[in-house]
Amino acid sequence: MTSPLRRLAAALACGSALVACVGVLGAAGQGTGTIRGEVVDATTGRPVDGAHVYLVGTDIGTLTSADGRYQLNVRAGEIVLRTRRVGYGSVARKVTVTAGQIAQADFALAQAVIGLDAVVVTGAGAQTEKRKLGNTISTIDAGTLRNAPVTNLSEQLAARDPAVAVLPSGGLVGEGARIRIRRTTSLTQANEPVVYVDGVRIDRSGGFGDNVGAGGGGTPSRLDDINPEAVDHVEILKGAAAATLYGSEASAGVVQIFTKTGSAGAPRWDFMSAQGISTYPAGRYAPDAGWVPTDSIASARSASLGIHVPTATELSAFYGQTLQPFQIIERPFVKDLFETGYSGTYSASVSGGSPAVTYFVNGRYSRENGPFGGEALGPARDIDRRAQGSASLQILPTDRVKIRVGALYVDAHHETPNNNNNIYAPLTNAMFGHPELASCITPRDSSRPTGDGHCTGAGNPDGVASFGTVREDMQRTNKQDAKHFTGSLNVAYEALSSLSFEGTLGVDVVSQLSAAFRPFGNGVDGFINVSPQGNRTVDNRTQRILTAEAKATWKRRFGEQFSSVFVAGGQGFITKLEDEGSFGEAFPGPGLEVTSAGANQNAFERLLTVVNAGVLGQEQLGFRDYAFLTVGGRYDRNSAFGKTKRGAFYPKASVSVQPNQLPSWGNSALTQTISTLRLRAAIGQSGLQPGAFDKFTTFGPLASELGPGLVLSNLGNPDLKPEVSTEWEAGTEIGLFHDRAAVDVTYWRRVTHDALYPRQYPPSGGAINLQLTNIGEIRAGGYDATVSVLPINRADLSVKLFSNIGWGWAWVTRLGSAPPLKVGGSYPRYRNFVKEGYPVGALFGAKLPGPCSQRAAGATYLCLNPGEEPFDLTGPAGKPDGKPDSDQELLAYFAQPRTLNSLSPLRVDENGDGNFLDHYLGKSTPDWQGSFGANATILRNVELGALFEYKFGNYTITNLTDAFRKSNPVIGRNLRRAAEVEATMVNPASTPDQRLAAARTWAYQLKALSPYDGLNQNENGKFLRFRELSITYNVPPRWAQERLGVRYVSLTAAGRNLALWTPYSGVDPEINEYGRGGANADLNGIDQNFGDAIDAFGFALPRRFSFTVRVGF
Amino acid sequence: MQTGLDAPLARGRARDAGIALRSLGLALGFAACSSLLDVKNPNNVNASDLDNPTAAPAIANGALSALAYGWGAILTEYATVSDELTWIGSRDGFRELDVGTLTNPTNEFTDAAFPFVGRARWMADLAIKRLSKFDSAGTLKNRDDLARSYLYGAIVYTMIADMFNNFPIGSDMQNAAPPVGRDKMDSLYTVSMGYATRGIALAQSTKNTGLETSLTAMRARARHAKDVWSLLHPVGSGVPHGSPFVNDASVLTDARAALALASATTDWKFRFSYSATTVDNYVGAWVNSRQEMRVGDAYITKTPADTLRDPITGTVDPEVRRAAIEFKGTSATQFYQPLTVLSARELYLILAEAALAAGDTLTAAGQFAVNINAVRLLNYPDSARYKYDPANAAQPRPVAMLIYERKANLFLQNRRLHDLYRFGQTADKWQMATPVAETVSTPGTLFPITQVELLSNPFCVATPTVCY
Repeated sequence: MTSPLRRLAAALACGSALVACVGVLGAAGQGTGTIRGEVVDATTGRPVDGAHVYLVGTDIGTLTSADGRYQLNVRAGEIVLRTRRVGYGSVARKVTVTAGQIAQADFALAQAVIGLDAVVVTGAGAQTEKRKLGNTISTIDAGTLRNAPVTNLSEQLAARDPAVAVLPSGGLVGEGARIRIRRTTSLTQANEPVVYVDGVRIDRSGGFGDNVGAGGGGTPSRLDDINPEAVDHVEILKGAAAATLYGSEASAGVVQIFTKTGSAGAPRWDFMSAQGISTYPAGRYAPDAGWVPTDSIASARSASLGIHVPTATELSAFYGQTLQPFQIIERPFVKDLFETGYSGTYSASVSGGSPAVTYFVNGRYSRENGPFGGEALGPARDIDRRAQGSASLQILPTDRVKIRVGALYVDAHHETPNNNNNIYAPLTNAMFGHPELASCITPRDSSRPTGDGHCTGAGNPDGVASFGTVREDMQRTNKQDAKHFTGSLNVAYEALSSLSFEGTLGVDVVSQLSAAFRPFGNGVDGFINVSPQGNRTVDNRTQRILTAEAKATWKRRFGEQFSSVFVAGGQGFITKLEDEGSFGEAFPGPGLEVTSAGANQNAFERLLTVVNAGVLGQEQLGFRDYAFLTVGGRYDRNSAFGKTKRGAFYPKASVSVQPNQLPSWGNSALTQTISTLRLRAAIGQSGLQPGAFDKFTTFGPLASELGPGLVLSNLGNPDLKPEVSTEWEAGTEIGLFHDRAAVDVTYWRRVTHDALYPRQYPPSGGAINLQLTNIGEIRAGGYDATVSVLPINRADLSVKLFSNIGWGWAWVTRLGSAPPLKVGGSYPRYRNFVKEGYPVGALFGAKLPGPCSQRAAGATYLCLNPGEEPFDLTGPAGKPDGKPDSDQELLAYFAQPRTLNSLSPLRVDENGDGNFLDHYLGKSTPDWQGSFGANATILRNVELGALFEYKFGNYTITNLTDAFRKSNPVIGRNLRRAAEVEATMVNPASTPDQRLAAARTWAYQLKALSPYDGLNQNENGKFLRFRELSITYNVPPRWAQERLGVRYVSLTAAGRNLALWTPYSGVDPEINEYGRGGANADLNGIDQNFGDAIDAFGFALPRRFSFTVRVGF
Repeated sequence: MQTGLDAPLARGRARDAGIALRSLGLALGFAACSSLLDVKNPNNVNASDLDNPTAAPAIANGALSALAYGWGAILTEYATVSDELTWIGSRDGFRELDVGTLTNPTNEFTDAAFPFVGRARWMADLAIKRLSKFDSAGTLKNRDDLARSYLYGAIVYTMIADMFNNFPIGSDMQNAAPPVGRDKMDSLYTVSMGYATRGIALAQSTKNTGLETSLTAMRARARHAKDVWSLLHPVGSGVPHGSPFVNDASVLTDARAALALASATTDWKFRFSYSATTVDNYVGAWVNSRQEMRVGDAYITKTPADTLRDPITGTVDPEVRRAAIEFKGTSATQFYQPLTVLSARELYLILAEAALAAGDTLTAAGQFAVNINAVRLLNYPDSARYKYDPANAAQPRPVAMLIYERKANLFLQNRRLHDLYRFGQTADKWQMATPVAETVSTPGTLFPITQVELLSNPFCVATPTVCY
């Protein structure tokens, strides 16, 4: 038996045994007393929840509850208590505890915008204060987002840190976001950070598995399985210098999620209910346009397309209005697919316990039916539903042993329509609608027009020219049901005050069943011809990750000046993936929804086991509590290279100096102004390993009519090794005016050596698949900066302003002699390339010839002299002469109507290599990204939060949607300006001047797609988005307690994606063809890594409004 | 700090610490355990496993499935350039082909098909090489596996010579080879014929008549194609060079031999079969399902009722109708319809063409009419209406009849464009002006080495001109 559940049971049994063992070890008790108290904001007097109150030098501590209270059971004697809370300065105080007695220790915290005392986890669970580290680790405190309109982890991370890009990709409900930390690390391996929950690595995939796809968008993210109500805080390790100790999968950074733990006291209940609505922004989808044909044009087009093309008379009857040939008509067909979405979220938590045992339990249920509608047309929907549960139990059997058991579970259901660049997607075909083709006659069915633009039955009321009607596309459904469990057991044992041990054992199991289904008889309009008898694909993906980790920490002091913290340990992961599926097509009748009912059946299966194990060590040497040197490293081995290969070693070093810790600080005017100053620098390495079997030459199955067959699958490369990223960074944190203003600046550089590149060998040699080779090099760098100010901090008004900005770049500096690679394989319309000497995701494509005056000296490529146009349609003799046409020549040529199909503009080949598509046209990632906003507390009880996010600087979006709609002769040319140009060109009443003007518009604005790929499809993608706004009223605590009998009540009204400012003319600058897992569920590969900023028939980010009530008992 | 602890407790803690340290050491040892790093790959077969003679059938089958897929892949573009298919969809790479521009190395569809052709060639050569080695060692259990590998090799070499202006042949996995050269592409037919000859010997030794028929027909087909190639090269004005008809004694010998072998099979065909559990035929997805193309007006204008009509009977051509209906298939078969590679019909037409070229008497009893009628008899087995008599002035002239029958009987068999070229005809969608299609301005031109090879083959990178 090898089922994941059996392994899980074994892991839990081992964990229980370990708990018992440690419990015995630590059974010896001694005299203890209790400390309790309240933590409040020093200015407003409001209780501070989530403040960490702990014994200095130990792991013993607790969190304050929503009413700011805490309670701790500690050894008798004199101890030092300290508090930490994001947004507040740290406060310490001595407390004398008497055995069996209760001591009171209250704290009043002053707000601060810098927090270097915050404790972070540096690698493999070793905790230290931020100020001691030379690298940056950012912390997102979920408590500060309590009122923000965020519904999942992706939104919790978005726009919080300038180095972290959260890319939403589209507005379908439940769609996961891709995450990039400090740009691109790898060409082929996952650029997504690895993710841990309470020290246990979790499944970070997305999408629908190997065999089911909806078109690239609407992809669920396994990260969003994490219950946001259970998250206490998130730490983000940015890049190799910070993530060295995480080894061979951490080059792209690490996200560590820490869930809530309870605090001692009576059970405290917290309830939350949120109701929301969502809508797509009006005006972002251009209406469908067309021009009314003459009878002869309608007849010719009908013969060409093979569908009924209505005459002006028929169109007039269809729309109930008189229409004349060449008249432009517009219809907003996409509106039929939009509705007001609604959502509901309900959460209940209970926490409490004794000083020895604390607990936190949460249950959350959320359901959202997004703004994609059209249910009257078919069963496709956008639904996301999650039932989540989380629990943590913290046991302190003695004052030297801490045991923590955590569990998260989610049962998720997700539905999404076909979407994005998918010719069988309802929105796509609605955008391709042609009002002039609207008819109630299709190739295989018909009904009568109602006279108002509809049909009495089957028909083509949206005027699609090919593929299928919107109603037929609505028959296709994509669903996923997922179960995700994460369990962790952490045991910490302080053997001596100088020596402690910690072990973590955990498992993460995902079981997801995805299905795409098209029912029997789905061609309801008699148009579509894909599987009219239906088909179904199912994908069953199960992944289990086992995490085991053990480490020892040895703390020492050397005299009065030096301190040392040495950490050594080991960490390993065993990941096992099973992805299997089946396909059935052509059902014998309606009602069948299983693959085994299909006349054609197929099955798929992929098995993958990856083992990664390493040992790590780190020494942190401190000098007088203000200078720290950290050195460390990890030796890692991975099953990708088998047992015969040596492992990889990743070293790191960092230094941190905090002069304001010196006794003399504050004695001058300057140092009085600068309340905090830290200088830091770090360097480190991390790696990414190739796939488990990439080094082998293999043959894969490809059956033939005569039996099972084998064909070359993987070319193999015995010299394959992990790619290694080396990153250094330097920066400073400066606190001013008693930490009421702060600046945090970091400069970083990274080079990825031996970057794994999927090299295309000549396919004439039999190799279709690409082979990974260590030939690439990527260099990247940038600045991250954050400015925070607390300009007003009174009891009745507190305002905090913040702004962060990141500037960065990433270039492919070496690819050996390998050819460039493009996103989308041979599909020519995605123009994002990986090419030596260019930014990652650089765009290349066709160009028209420019003015000769701008041509480089000595160059001979095609150019235009004044009075010439980019056409060679005619010449002095009335025939093409191999030269650009003059206006006079064209005026003669346009004396008669011409079709746009015959107007092929001239392309230029500037480097003369015969490739017309290799002109650099920009890049798909912005130079700058960041956010700004404010948090305010008004009259003690009203909280206001606002967040804006932006991107700009050399940022180019591939507007493929409009490239089609402007140019494609069959399914496009349905933007108004395209319809006008075409109508002008063919209308006999047009003048030559009008046709010439239309031809110019055609060449310089509209003509796109093959063989002009890249032409007229790129746009400036800069934007500023009003991302979040929330207003919360906290019922005064006394009133809540005395009048309502509850601990607290808060009411929040919030909105998300409220406004957008952008010059981009397409639907939404944040749309992207590939959502998280939309190109590869394993999150690697060229498409997933560099398929950025491709607007291809996606869904705009919806505006969301919510109203939330929180009550605590 | 230890100062607050008494000595026994400190000793106890130290002991505990020792235990924990040892545990930690064990954990680290476990983490570094090499055996954990050995994981299995049950998804694929290691290359070394193909050294086992029991792999022979799977290798030959792999060559077959690779070839069948490559055949359909390049057929999609070829039929679009010719008048067999016409573009009605959204992907204007097909439009480019439809209007007669086929040498664009970045055309997404030609570029996508190229690797499948390359894989088919490599797999056929691999199968021949490996199975020959087994045969020499006496470990090949079934020599028919080698014989059919020769057939696949013969087909793929002829296919490449038919389809491409130039092609690198000797590439082997990571090791690239230079292209054969435009003027030497006919050497691939020689390879094809050589493979067929060796395959025939093997099939005769195993008395596998079916294989012998296919191999003999293939050799006739390759020799005929080589002669056609010489009519079209050098490409450009002047094509065809000389008479458009082939009359080659060796072709006739093989054609007659193949027909004799196939005589027991009415309407003999060698076809690639496709299914959901093997491979699809590539072209069906684009035409039947996605509807990027439909059958061209030269065959079916709008509906099956308008299908090409037989010039003798005036009725819908039975073979075109059958082929069109078969190709369209049903919802369950639209991706998987068989594609014909060789047929008795083509062999008869080769014989008829040779008779015409040889100055046949052009009577009902002449070899031209006999062979044309042999084909027509397959269409009209129960009717006398089929008979063609070149002496009958009311019936089409022999050249037109030959062209018609080739058009009708070799539909979607990777032959049509060559016939258009050599018979001086044009497809209805070829752009005749502004600018003139390559198929018009440069008749005889074929597909190029495409971008995927141009960028990855160091010979092409170093000297681009050798790859054009």
